[in-house]
Amino acid sequence: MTIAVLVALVLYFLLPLWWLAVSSLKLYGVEFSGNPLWVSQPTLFNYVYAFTNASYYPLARWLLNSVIESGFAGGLGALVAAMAGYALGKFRFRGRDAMTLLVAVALMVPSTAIAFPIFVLEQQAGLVNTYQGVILPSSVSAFAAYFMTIYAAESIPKEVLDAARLDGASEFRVFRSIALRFFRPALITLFVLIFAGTWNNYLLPLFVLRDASLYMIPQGLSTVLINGSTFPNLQFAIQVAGSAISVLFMVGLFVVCEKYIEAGLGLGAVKG
Amino acid sequence: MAKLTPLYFLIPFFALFTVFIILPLAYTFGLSLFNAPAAATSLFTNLVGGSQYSRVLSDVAFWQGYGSMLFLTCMWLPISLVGSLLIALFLDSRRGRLGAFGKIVVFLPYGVPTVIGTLMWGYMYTAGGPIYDLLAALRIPVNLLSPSAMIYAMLNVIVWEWMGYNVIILLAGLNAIPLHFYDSARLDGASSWQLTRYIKLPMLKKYLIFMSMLTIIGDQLLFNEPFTLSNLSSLPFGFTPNLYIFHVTYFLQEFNYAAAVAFIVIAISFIVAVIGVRFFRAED
Repeated sequence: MTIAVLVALVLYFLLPLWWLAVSSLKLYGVEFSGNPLWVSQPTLFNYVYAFTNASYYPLARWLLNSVIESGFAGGLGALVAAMAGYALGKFRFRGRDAMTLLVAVALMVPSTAIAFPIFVLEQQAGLVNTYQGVILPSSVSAFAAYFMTIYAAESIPKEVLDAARLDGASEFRVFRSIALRFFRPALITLFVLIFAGTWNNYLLPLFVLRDASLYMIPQGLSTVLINGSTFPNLQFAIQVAGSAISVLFMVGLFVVCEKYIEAGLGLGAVKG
Repeated sequence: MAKLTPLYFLIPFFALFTVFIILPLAYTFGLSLFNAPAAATSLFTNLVGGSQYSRVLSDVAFWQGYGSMLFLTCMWLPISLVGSLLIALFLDSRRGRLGAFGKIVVFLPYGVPTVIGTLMWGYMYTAGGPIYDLLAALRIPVNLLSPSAMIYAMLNVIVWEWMGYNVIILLAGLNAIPLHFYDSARLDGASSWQLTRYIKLPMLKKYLIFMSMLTIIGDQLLFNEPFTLSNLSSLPFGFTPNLYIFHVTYFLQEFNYAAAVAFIVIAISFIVAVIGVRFFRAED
């Protein structure tokens, strides 16, 4: 019984990933013939071909861009959300409830409602077509701040903070050496979630980035898809190889951080 | 210093928040009050007050999209609640190596970039792909990429993507149940069904309400999935509200009107959230 259910879960949840892996090992022209879920003569041709035609489609650069922009957005976003959540969850002051409500309302803002104004704003500030133009807006996550507010309130006992203060530690030291330690699962969770959100973001780069050499993976792959079939075999190679590597990278990150994410989401998402 | 401490911690986040969320929203709200002619140099010409909003209220394409999205929600919500509950209860009763393996398997799709996940399913749906073949073998002659079946194609993609996230939240909820609850129930001779019915389910109720709220609001904000599917087949551009705003902004370039649509969508989400929070508080 246990095994039967597990097999069913594996079949459904891993099917597309298996299909992608198998397809990426097939040559263009035969990808749809034969068994779609098996490859009899696997070849790495697509991977080699996809990375050796940078003058048409700079796939390696797109991957690098994605790593850089998602990494900075995740790091910055998790840190500023942790600071704000710490203040909102652990201090009492005037305007606190209003601020928390503001953050909660911002959870409901559709991404498309602010993409165009962000573009207008960045045009004024000279951020269009730069890494910062993607990193800064991507790092602002209302979800992250909301989550950290609840997490801070639930995870740190007030006595621990007060004891450190009695020992003469400054407020910044209390935050750095105590709060951040308690926040570890939450920080990792938020880093991964903001990283994934930026990695997945198609809309914002579409407005903000102009040069193909600055594109991130989703925009790059969809350019290949829309540009059509001047070089159909290159197009195919880039799509399967680019998708497979992108998936492998994100899935790897999630598996490595799964324990933290479970602990983080369990406490931060629902209580309060 | 002590009084100003929270302020220092708040500044970095709220500076970014103000620049990249509040200001853009204010700009969008400003836009929604105008109706600039196509040739105007500024989008803030021809103040019309609320008339863009009344245009949204009678916009058939927008509300048809809302209708199909509601239909999608009506299928998605029960599937994700019941599905993730069953999977979480199953994995919770089988801790150890098999349980951990099952958890990773269910959670993996959540890590797959949504654009790529949607593309993969899209290719599997096309003639010659495994899903198409499977449906043909089952004598269900459906092309999931045809306009009438598209909604099921999308349902499958979002169920696949989000199930793991919900399962993880429910597993955390089950983990939070104190063990002595089980022990005393077992001493009283409770069966495992009774444990589930009278201990686990009531303890999870709060989590299920929270998930429902996220699902309903999240549905309105779906963008990557319908947008990617629309590249593979013809999808009405009002299929989800977020897709509609994008279409009106990016392709029709009716910035003023798109702004009004965006604010109507925010207002509807807000109402859903207020109702959700009421339920949530009632549980506490």
